Amino acid sequence: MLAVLHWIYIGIVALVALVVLAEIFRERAWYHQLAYALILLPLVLRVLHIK
Amino acid sequence: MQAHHARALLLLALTAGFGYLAGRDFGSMHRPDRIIPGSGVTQQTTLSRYSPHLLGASGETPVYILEGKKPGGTLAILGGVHPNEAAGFLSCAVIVEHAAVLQGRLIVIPQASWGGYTCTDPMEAYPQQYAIPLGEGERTFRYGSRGMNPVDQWPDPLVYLHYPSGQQLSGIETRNLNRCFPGRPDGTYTERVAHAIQQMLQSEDVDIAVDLHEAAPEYPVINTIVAHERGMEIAASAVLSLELEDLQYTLERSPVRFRGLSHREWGDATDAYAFLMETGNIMQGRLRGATSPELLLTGVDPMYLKAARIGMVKIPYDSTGVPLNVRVGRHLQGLRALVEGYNALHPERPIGITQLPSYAECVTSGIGAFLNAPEADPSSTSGEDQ
Repeated sequence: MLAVLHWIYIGIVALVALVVLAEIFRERAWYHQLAYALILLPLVLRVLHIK
Repeated sequence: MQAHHARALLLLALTAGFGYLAGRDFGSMHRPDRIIPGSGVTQQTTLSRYSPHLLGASGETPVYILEGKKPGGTLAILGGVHPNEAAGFLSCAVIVEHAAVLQGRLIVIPQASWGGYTCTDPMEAYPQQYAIPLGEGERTFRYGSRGMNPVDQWPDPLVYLHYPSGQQLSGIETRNLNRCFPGRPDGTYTERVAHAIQQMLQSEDVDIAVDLHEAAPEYPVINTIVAHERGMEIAASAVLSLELEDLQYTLERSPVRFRGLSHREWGDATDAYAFLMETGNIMQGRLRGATSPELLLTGVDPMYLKAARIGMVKIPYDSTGVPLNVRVGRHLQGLRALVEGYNALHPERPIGITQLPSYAECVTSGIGAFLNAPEADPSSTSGEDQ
């Protein structure tokens, strides 16, 4: 059960990372793109179990 | 290609670059600290020996056994239950690298919360590493986190329910090993580690078990021996003996209704006399200023000098600080006193330890004098530490 919860969490993080990734390409303002890139960094590290 | 798409690709490349650098930094915390066993170590194993549920997991912390030629009692010493409390770990390292046993057995787990050594606590500005000077050169060790790494156990619940009591604590305590005893074989990562330690105490027929900690100087339970009620006589004898050596300790009885603590659960569920010792670590204090490896080593902080002047500090504190040498010395002297107390009560099953540095030796020579140089490690190929 605990392992399932963990992988559900990782799945949610991966989904949010994909949405943020899509938004970087959709967004036209550079400062919003920069903000999305900053948000993406910890999400990727989390999905990869680095941090 | 449109301009904002090109910019997105550039930003992603930058993100990947920063991700790589950050990942490399976080990854460095997964490289184990090197402990160089001395001639007193007769056997080395890992915690999964006592609970196969840990096999291959990052809870596979090393266990060192020092066995004397004569049969006697068994003493278990745990350091690093909280990896941000360096004196406990270093006391164990000194024992493994320097001490020997004449009679009975010593089981030492220097880094009980192995997973907690792979990260630091957020918002604390803790250094990832610190160095202990040797006669020549230095040895570098990781400074870890109070709890296990969230990478190994996440998400935290809103409220942590202790097993088996059902006691409710803050959710973050679910990764605190010293709130998870006795643990369970199929529980969270932290509960599995706790269960393995509990199994070790039972299967090795441990007579006396000591958990080494540190705490913030404003914390009331400090410079203290906490004892399970079965061990109060031994602890009282140890406190008196330490007082005669001008080392002040208070004696605290393990609270009966606060579950999950080592001294409570070990004492209740095993035959071991269970104790916990605390020293004062400025690095953990809420009133501290700049946080650095030097602060860990010296324990000198101007904010705590001000706090001491207005009576907010629970330990004697002046401009000499509370150096790491003093804190490790206190733990080692405390262990010596507890063993003497145990031996007086159980002369039929004594424990005899030799080459255990005294408090005075730690303070005058520094703990580096009792740690082995990297070239003494037969597994070392480079001669460099880490």
